[in-house]
Amino acid sequence: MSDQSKRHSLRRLFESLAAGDYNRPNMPWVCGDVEGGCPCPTGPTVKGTCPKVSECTPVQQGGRWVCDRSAERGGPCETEPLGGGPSPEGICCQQHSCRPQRSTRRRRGRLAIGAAVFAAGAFMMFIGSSWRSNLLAPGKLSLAHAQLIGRDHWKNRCSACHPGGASAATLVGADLNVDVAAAHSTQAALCVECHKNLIPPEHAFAAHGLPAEALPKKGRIDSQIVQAGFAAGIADMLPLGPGDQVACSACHQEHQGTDHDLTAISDGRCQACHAEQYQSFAIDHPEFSLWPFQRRTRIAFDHASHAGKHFASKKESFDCATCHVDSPDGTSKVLAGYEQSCSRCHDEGIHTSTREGLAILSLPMMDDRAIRDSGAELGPWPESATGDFDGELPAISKLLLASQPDSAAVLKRLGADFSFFDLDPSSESDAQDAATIAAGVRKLLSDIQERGHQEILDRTQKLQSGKRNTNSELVGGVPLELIANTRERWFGNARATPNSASAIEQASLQSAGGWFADDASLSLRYRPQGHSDPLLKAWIDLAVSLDDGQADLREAVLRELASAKSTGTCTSCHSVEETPLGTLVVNWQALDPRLKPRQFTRFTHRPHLTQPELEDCSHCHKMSQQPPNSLAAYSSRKPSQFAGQFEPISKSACVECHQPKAAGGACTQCHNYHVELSQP
Amino acid sequence: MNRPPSPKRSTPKPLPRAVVRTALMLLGVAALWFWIGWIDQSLGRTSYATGYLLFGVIFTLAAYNVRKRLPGLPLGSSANWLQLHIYLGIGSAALVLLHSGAKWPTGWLETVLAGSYWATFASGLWGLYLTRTLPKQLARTSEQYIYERIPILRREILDQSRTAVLSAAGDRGATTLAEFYCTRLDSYLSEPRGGLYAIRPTSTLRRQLMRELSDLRRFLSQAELKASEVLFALVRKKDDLDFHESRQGLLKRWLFVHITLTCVLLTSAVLHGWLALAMRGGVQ
Amino acid sequence: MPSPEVATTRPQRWTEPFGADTDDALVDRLLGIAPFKHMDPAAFPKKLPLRDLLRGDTRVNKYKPGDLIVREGDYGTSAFILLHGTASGTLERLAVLGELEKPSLGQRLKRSIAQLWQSPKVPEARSLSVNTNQIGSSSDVGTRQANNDTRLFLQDVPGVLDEYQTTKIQAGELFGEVAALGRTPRTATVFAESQCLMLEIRWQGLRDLMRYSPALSQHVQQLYRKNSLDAHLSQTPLLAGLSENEVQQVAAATQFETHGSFDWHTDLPEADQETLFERIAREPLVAEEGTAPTGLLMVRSGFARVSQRRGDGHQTTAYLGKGQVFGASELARSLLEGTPAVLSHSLRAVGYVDLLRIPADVALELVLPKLSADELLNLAQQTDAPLPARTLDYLVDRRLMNGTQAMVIDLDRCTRCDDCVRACAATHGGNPRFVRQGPTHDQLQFANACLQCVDPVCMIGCPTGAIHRDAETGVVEINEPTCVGCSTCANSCPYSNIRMVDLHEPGGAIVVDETTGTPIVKATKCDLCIDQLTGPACQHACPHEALVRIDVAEITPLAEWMTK
Repeated sequence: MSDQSKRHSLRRLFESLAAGDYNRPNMPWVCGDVEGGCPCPTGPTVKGTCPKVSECTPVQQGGRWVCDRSAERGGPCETEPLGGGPSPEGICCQQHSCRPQRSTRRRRGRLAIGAAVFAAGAFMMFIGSSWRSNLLAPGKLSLAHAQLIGRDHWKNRCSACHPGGASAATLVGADLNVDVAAAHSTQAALCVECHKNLIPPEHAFAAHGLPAEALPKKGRIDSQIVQAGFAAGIADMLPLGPGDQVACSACHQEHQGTDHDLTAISDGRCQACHAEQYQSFAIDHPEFSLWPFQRRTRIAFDHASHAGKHFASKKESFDCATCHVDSPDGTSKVLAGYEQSCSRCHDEGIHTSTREGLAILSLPMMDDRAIRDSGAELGPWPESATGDFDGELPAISKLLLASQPDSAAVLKRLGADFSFFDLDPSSESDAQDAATIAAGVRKLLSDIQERGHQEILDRTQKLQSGKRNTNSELVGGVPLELIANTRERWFGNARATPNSASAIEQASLQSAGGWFADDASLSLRYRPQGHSDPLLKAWIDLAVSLDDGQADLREAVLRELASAKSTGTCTSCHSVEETPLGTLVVNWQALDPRLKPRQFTRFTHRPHLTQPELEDCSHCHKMSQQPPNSLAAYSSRKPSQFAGQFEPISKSACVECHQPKAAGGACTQCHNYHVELSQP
Repeated sequence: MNRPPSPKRSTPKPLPRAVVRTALMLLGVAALWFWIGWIDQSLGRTSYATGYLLFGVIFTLAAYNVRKRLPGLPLGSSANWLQLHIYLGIGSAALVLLHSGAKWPTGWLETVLAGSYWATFASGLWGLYLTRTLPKQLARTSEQYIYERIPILRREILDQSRTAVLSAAGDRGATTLAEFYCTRLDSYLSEPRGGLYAIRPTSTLRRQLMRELSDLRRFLSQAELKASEVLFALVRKKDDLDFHESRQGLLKRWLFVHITLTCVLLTSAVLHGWLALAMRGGVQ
Repeated sequence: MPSPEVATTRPQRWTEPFGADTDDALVDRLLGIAPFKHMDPAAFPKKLPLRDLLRGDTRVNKYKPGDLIVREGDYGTSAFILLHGTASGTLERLAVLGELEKPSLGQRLKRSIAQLWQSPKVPEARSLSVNTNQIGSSSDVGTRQANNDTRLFLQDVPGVLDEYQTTKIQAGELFGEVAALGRTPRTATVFAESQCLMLEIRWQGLRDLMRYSPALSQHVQQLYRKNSLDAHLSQTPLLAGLSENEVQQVAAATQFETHGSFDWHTDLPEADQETLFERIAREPLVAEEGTAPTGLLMVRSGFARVSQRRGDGHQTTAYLGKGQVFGASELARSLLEGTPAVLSHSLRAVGYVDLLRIPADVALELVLPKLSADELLNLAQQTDAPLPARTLDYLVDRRLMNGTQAMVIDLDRCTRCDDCVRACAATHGGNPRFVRQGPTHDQLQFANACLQCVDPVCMIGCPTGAIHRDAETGVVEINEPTCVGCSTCANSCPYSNIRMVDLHEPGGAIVVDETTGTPIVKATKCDLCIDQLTGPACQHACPHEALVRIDVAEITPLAEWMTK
């Protein structure tokens, strides 16, 4: 074509681009001659070998070999710099031979895959080695848990807490030598295995570790996603739903380092379930209402009258710390005890009330004639106790007689608090009953003499419907000779003359805790040894322990032993109260916060008292401005019915310090998640 | 002319794309923060929630490599994938901080995992920097070279330079240029630059050679002067080639580092995830 | 090791004739009818005798009533002569036709997935079995089978005749030649009314026939004025508001102009000797700045440069290609302001330019008043070119303004990762179809990928029609089975964007000619991924938005992309 050169004038601009094949970065192999600068036109084969081709197949023209290289490859190569044309044997001058190389990309890909394989292999190797546990542990255990795992278990320590470790081990073919029993357990169950003291296993994973009925029904959880239907694992990340069990690990995260606080929990997580929502303690936490006064104190003590009257009259200062002292461990405030706190003033009163001793047995006046008229027989009875019916049985006698069926029947018929004075001598039954009692009293003494102290214990045991009673304090170490002598004197043949001097008078001079028989009043008596007399305490305890079937007897006994005028006046301070189960109990001890079951709220005085202004107890504990007659409430047996002697502590007193940036306002600072059911 | 008249632009200029996307990413991180908070406040295990999410994110990030291997499928343009890759990658750091509680792990495997993540993250940022800066440097050279063809072109330059020097020398036996060529230029033209130049290319050697060559011009014959002109151009071109080899090579090697780290990250992430599930402490 | 080479016969121009049934008897009959009987066989060169041309480049098709012969909008490479029967054509778009059926999304997706593993590992691997039936365009999709072609046909021919304005085609009449020769879309739809016989001449044949038969050449030009001018004008956006009658009036007044005598791709600046200003000054002046416009100048073919005087030289402000208009702005302003129009720019032919001139008075009277006030105002407001003059000059001087789908790479963003090349390879059987290199201007690189030219000169000279426009999309592609490896297209492409490749057998062996031992080559080029779901895979695969396929024939898309 004539215009060939013209047509190509534009091509001239693009000339440098025209030569060569496409670049093929997708090909795995490149010609080994690329580095040398002269790659061959064919390139390596798929397998990365050099095809070793020539650029042309020389043709024979008139006895001469002529290059036949195609235009695409640059045309015939006759000229010298190119190669000089075919050899005389007809072989192309442009022979290529090289060792092909992998392309950059292919090398990069192989290295990357190699790295992944290496990493996977290294992991596999380590998992199979004895170093496994060290390598797989995601972090150090907390100190307490780390110390628990003994040397023997150190190698397979994962499975101490991770039952899943067993199945995981089988997957990688590693022999973790795990405890098979543990493998079928769950991690949470393993936790409870050790912590069962605090967390009873039966409701361990329910909210607060309590049975559902112990918690309010309405919770925020109603509105949240129910986790049922999701595969395990996925469920771990989902919020909990109603009735879901909470695994220990939901809150307690291990492997966070030696110093990690396992019990740390955010306020928000507490409120996940709680219907009443608030932002913070300082802002909208509810007021405490009556806290900490939810019941009357166990020891009936009128702070107001002591401070305003008794101490004032003696011109003594009323110092809280005299009675409320630190517990030995320093965590709590406890009462100092009677000796330190009360005895100086109250010993005298107790002494006075016990001067005459407690009548264990006293013979009432029997109307011998009336008894005889009724057809019964009085039997041996001191003459000085014969006449018109009069007198009463002491409370303890009634208790001891109640175990004898005939006497018990009499007590039932006449009422436990009957008086002989009320008996009608003309009534046959009354007279017969009196005779029964008289016989019962004689039998009591003879039985005791015969069987010793055990008789008393056996009788009390019968009274408590067979509950074994080994409280030897009930016996009070009564000397059996005294019983024998007394019996001999009162009912025996050798009638002793009454003592000239009253034994009571003499006894007052004796040391406390002694027994004596007073022939003047025909009574067998025990003189309590002052405060906290064991016998008195034992008999009062026995009385309150009587069930409702014996309510008549119980109340009669308590009227005598547990009133303001009773011997020892015990219950004027040691309040008698009804427990939630309906039984009665005498509070011999003041509250010791250390012995309280773990409750939802806790308070520790110690850190607070380091604040100078809090050293004054009245900073928080303010006595009521108009003191009620707090003791009046103790006539009731309901501890919840009481008149507070102190103003309730308001939240504002706490909020002064308990701010997020100061003393803190987190839920768990005052509240426990894991609680114990209060003891019955 | 019928050039379409451009419509009057009265609408305000839209925000730059990067600003909008960064804002979206931050919004996503914030949403994540609240979501994690919600799960935590509901007694859920946030480490599992973030773990699953992180696993998904890491695999989405790694899937970009798979996407690149499937060019014919309508999976969305690579550019969109890269944008997603960049913003998701940067956002993943927040997720990792949420997942790990913003502290360095003490476990061995976790250390490897965290190390490989942050190394991958750092290499990604480095790559972002490289891919945003190196193209402009490469574009400054007068010619553009295909990496794979650089050895061929180097060979061509060498051949051209030798031819030029030989033709000048053959003229009247003048050897000044030839001697200079043998001692100074031949090795420069025939071999790729090694060592430090691959990391940080400089023009020092090129400028020095050109200075020496121009100092030499006073002693050259007419034919040699002509050849020296050729040599000037070739020295410059060789320097451009070396520069391209260094910078393009860096871009390719960077990707190798990033991909290799990703492979290690994926492997340890799978192991970590499997262990976390196998060792989890549920009640069932 | 298998032999690195296998031998086969090299295909020639007529190895695979256009019509398999075209035999000597048919050629004899054809030579007996017009227009062939008026041709002088002696005027044809020895290499291309008339008989061989007819035999190799024509075929006779039978059509049943209702069959579509050509369809408006399609790219066709053949002209037709009605031999027998009746056929009708219409310039209106037949609503019943709708769009051509494309492969369903599912099918294309399936193919996209299959190519992931079907890509051979060997470069340029081809199966050696050649499908001899596959000739010419096989893209007609329809409901009726005929001669290995699937044809669409109209169910209701009388209905169409009633509803649309149709023209009867007479026996012996030539049609379809404009689209075939001008590489433009069909302007009319032609369908058979009765059983008819059509002689189909592919454009390579028609081109050679016209070259050696002046009568045919003249006839074709007359036909253009008669048949196509109206259609051409009515397709011009500026004339969209005109009635048919008015279009005919405009057509009657329209004049043909040709400026310059070189092809745009041959008239090239001698960059070393000529300054830019000299070059512009040398280009044939069509209309000069400061003079009154002679009318609306519409580019029919070729390219033109719009420039403005600045200092001592001329600054390029725009370029025009096929279908674009010069002088409208000045005329619109004169209409609005009532002042005489003066050209604010000059127009020069780049190589040559064929123009249609609608005289100024006709334009002011008939054309511009039909525009809405807004359109007129917009037209009158000339805006500065959004690209700097040096960029415009670069695009014109390199003739890059020819490209409707040029691959432009922003070198400031390109990390040279070659993802584009690999994506291209993955979608083309493991073979890239472009080279990531090319002329650079500032940060723009115009890569070595098919531009999809406004005027695809690569199609000139292909002896077999292997390089053709896809009927559906107009994309220029190469039908490889018919490619004989002559390299004509590759040599014609001014941008070196067609590459000849050595074929490999799937096992890896190079395929060589059994007689000469030289490798069998095929022409390859970018096909714009027309069969892919994703559009051009290169652009789809670029992670940095550095690569774009963009219409450089217009100025604004490139300008907008650059400021993105």
